[in-house]
Amino acid sequence: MKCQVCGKYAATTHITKVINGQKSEVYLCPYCANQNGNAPVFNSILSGDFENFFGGLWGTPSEIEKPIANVCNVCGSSLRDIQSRGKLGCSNCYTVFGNYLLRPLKEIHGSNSHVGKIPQKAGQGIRIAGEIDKLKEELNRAVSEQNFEQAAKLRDKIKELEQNRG
Amino acid sequence: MWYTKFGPSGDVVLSSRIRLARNLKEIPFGTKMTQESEAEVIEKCRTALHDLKYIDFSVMTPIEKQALSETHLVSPEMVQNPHKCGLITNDDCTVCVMLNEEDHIRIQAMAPGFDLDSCLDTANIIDDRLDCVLDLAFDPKFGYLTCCPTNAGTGMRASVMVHLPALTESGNMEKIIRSLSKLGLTVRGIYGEGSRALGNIYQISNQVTLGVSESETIEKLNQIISDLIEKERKLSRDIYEQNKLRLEDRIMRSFGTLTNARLLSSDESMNLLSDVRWGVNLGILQNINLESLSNVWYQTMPANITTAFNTQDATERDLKRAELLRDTLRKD
Repeated sequence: MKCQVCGKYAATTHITKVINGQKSEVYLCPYCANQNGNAPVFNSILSGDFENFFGGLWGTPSEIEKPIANVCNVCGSSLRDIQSRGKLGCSNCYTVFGNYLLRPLKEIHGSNSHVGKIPQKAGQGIRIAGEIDKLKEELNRAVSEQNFEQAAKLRDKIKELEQNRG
Repeated sequence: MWYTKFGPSGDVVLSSRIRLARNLKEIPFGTKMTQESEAEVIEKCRTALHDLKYIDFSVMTPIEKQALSETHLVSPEMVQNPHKCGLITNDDCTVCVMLNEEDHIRIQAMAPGFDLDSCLDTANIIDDRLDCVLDLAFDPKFGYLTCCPTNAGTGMRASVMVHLPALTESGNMEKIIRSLSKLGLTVRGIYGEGSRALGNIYQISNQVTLGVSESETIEKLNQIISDLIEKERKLSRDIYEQNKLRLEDRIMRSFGTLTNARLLSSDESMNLLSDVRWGVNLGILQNINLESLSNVWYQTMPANITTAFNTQDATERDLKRAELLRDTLRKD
């Protein structure tokens, strides 16, 4: 017998479903059976992802971990949605539930602050802010050393960067 | 295909891969996506990488999807993905960007052998091209924002696929997996159920994506994997010297089965091919090319046989598999 879904390969899986007394039967090849989440096919690839353990790290949020809103104002995810799925609904969830994510992230990664690549476009403001901080430190040093000519140059540069940042 | 080529330290490391997870700022993730937003992700990425080939994954048959997963071009999760999803690849498939897998964009760069550095360079080129024209979800504190917070930060998973017959034979793998886990690495069998690694092939990858940079992660992996390669080579020689006749007998028996059997299951052939590969590395078997071994390895995977030869059931597959293996190994 051929598979009732693709009609191409031999049916090896027979599925009988009884829902509210209504019986339905379907014959599937291994590929279509697998696609429908009904049966394992071949050697399933091991899922050793530790993502599954993430759920165990959630807890009731403490005072400082409280989200800034009950639901995300962009995608509508609630804290419970995130706890049950272990996944966030959109990038704005990181802002809404950010405080609550810090502890589990620290437990998983040993850190909760990014130190890697910064994208050119989205990261432009971040880079400018970092540069301004650095120049401000230099400005303070120049002032304390009474190097006013250098301090004036630095002040102008900071002003220029702050204007660029908008 | 790149995955059958012999790369640096190719006696132990079959392939290297970098995966970068990225999302678009204005579009919701995963389950919150609508059909329109799924199409939007695909359209935007296709436009950004217009010179590369686009494949509509959603219209492929389950068996075609499975075949791509067997060669590791797409993840097993992608095969199960009911959403509208696509792939963007280059001609030799060393770049394969998965669209609408768990994250909107998963850039993958692959290379034969042990070469994570070149993979990262390639992945970064694609990433920078996307970054030029798209608004990627990024936060100064959390880094690249991903659907699952365990990937946030660099969004990078660096992995190598290694063939470790000697370490497995010596019964040391459990210990190694435990100690690598303490160093922040994950080890898993690529094929097979539970802790059984069919064909003695393992994938080793980083777990941590937050608080370490991409280059630090790669440097650490490079050091650990180099050490592991040396351990495997040394142990392999030691085992051979101590049990010359026994190991030769085992490897020649495996070779004999592969060149004579009429029916071979994929589990059996993977384990026999692992022995033959080991035998070639030790010089026990000569005139066998490791690249043709890799080629036949992928060619004889269940879904790859089915798509290439339209086999109808497991017996037909086992028959064809045995024929392909006989042809390859006898020719060599």
